[in-house]
Formats: sequence, C-alpha cells, structure tokens
Amino acid sequence: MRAEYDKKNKKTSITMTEEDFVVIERNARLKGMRVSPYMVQCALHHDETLTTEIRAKMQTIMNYAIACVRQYDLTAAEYIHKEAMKIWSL
Amino acid sequence: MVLIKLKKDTYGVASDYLHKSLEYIYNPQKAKYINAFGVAAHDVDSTESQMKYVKGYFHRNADNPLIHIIVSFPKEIKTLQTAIELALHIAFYFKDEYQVIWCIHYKSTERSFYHVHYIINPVCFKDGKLYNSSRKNLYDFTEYVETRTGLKSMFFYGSPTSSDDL
Repeated sequence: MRAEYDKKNKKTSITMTEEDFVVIERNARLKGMRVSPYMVQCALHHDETLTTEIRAKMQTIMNYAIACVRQYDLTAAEYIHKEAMKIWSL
Repeated sequence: MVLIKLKKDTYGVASDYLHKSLEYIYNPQKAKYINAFGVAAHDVDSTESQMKYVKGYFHRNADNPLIHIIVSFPKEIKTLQTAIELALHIAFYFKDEYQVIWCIHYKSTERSFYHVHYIINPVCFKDGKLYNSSRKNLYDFTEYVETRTGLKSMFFYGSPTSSDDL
C-alpha cells in the first residue's frame, strides 16, 4: 500500500497538438513508460543534467575504478569514492 | 546444486529494514567480499542514500524497501575467488535496471562453503518500475543462474523470519 506522500491522486488535463502527443507517446514508449508518468518525470526533472540511469551506470564504473585502485593506493580509492558521491548531488 | 532463496521482506516504510540489511551486508566479521552495481559499495550510508535517491526520484518511497536473495553454492565451489566470479556473473542479471549490492559469506555446512547475499533496490533506475518477484520471474532468474554458473539451480521462498543463511 502506498503512503500518503507517494499517492498519485491529483488529476489534470492538458491540451496539445496531435503531433506533439504522437511524439510524447513515442518517447514514453521508448522509455518503457506510460504517457502520464513519463510527462510527470520530464516536467519534474527537466533541469537535472543526469538521469538516475546515468548516475547508476557511472557509479558502477566508479566501483570498478575503486576496486582496481584500492589494492595499490587507499587514499586514491577514497578520493574516487568521494568524487563518485558527487554524481548523486549534481 | 545452487540454492536460491528469496527472503520475503515487506516491513513497510516506517521500518529501518534497508539500513539494517545493509549493516548486515557490510558486517566486516562476516563479509569476505563486497561489490555492487549501480550503487556505492563503500559504506552503509552511501549505499542507503543512493538507493533512497532512486526511490525518491520515482516516488516509490513507500514500497517494499528491498529484495533479499541468498544464493548458496554447492561444495564444488571451494575457493573464494571462484565464489567471487560466480557472484559477479549472477549479479549481471540485475545490472542494467536495478541497484544491487552483494557480499560473500563463508559458512561450512554439509552442502556448502560459500553463499552470497544480494540486496536489490526493487525500484528500476530506468523507469521506476518495481521488480516483480513472482514465481515466473524467479524461475527466469534461476535459469539464468544455471546458464551462467553451469550448475543445477533451484529457488524457493523463505519466510521473513527464516534464517539468513541456507
């Protein structure tokens, strides 16, 4: 069951051209999403430079770098970890 | 045979179950090896904050906090290095959609030396969809484990109160 703050209980209608809707619908489908959550996600996170997918994939690369470096230089490994953490606050 | 146990943990949003599970993963007395995809494998707070970031991004804070899968290797797997390689191959199943962190424990039983704990963020970092731990999906996962390890595998559901080992 969803908590109150996660409930999607607000509805609104918007107007757009048929052409725009086709594009939005196609983009949503390409992301494996329905139109409504796709539009919400785009509107809420439009000013974020990195998607969660990119952040997660960058973190995987950082983990690999840390594992490689750790055996030779612990300080460098810590530095990479600290820099990697910044990915999540950009 | 590789045994795969899914622990059914649905302790709800108020619970600090994710934090406790990550503490278990990072326990230096138990963990022989730790690695992760899509999330930091450095300390509890880093991992927890990054998993919560993805949950918050998709407004999925109140859903199941984690998926806990335990994979126990048979006694043919005698070395930590082999266990590390197999655990990595198995984790690739989740790599492109879910944050997953895993640790390897050594416990000598009559059927196994090494087992792996996987803690998975059930919220997909691509589209926010929840991982469905249905019988069908776990069967697919089991087939994947069989293919990647070359070892016969089977899965079963564990209760929330069942042991953390197999």
